[in-house]
Amino acid sequence: MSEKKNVISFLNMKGGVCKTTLCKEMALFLVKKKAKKVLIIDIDPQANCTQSFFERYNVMGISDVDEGELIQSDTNLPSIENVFSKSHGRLREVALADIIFELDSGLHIIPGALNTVFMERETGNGSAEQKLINFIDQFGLQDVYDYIFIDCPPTYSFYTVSALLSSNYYFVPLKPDAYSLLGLDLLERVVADLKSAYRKNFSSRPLTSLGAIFTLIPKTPAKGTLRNMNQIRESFQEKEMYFFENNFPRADKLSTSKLSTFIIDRQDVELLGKLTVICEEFEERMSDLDGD
Amino acid sequence: MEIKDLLKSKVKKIQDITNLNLLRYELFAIFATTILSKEEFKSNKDITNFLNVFGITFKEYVMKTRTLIMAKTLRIIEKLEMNDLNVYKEDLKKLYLIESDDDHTKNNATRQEKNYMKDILNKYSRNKN
Repeated sequence: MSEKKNVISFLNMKGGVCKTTLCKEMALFLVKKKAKKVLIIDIDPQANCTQSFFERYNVMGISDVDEGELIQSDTNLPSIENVFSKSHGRLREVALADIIFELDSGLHIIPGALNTVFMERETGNGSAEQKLINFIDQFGLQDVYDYIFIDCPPTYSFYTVSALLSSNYYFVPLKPDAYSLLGLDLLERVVADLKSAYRKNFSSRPLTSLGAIFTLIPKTPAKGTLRNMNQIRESFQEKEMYFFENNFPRADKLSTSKLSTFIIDRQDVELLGKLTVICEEFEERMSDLDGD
Repeated sequence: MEIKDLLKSKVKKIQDITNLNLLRYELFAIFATTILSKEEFKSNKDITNFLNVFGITFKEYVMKTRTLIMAKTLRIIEKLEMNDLNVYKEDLKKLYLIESDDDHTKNNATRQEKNYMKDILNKYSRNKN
């Protein structure tokens, strides 16, 4: 197993806290601005992260009916489904090309399934949950990439378990409200439960919290928002939760614009600045934890 | 809205006014409302202290009639220059906002000592032993 600790799950039990947005923006930034090599694993059945990157890299072709032949059939695309599907019981038979899609030289993705709602294929024995880590391990993916980001769904499910079993770190985007606070609490519980249920896996591959980051913070936050942020920080102080100093801003344009437009594609210096400091803090935090 | 709250909000609003006539206009309203208010001052004697803050004193006969107190005060305001009006503005701020801010911070302090987020977490946490 790789010595490198570079697999990070983007996770919160609460939905709509910018898990996917943060994941895709940070990935693209690290590739384009910091010359990193990044693999994104889209394990969220909603596959929004996949859709964004496919739009940006025009993977599905032009969706003009008259030029129908230009449209790529999504059934031929690599997909995370192929990691979990039963027919590929033995992983050696799985080809990388069936699973990893190369968006460009530094940025690869294991796409979510776009044409079906991919579901858990095997239940009961728990081996299906280990297929993702087995896949990463057998192909030595941790040594191929600087970072591997896993975009998780906001649920405690097969997907989350698969993701956490594969991760060295989990990173929690958090809105400064009570629901997100409880989402963070629930997540801590899930991690604790998982650690005891899969004691063996985690003893050889420890899972560490990378920290929480406040998201959707307005340019000039209301008093209540600031108070909530402080109170949430305080509430988790005893649990030694690390909170990122930089916040991910709320920007309407991020939700109203095309999927294909990423922050680095924009002229918005302020937004880019925020993303820059977040990525820098992220890299610092990664190297701090690695030193421990 | 209680007179006190109304005055507070008005005093707050004038803090940003830099136009001479507009500020004077608002001060007319604030002083007239305050002086005539039985809520603010039960007896005319109480008005003396209020006026002292602004360095205003009237002869005894004036202080016997609120109408006169108000009228004479408005006349004073009418003749003030911008600098003096600003002093009035500041004094009103001290009187209505800072004092009441004290109450406010007291309330806030007690409220903030209680960490709502922590309470919620303690109530619903799934990480309790």
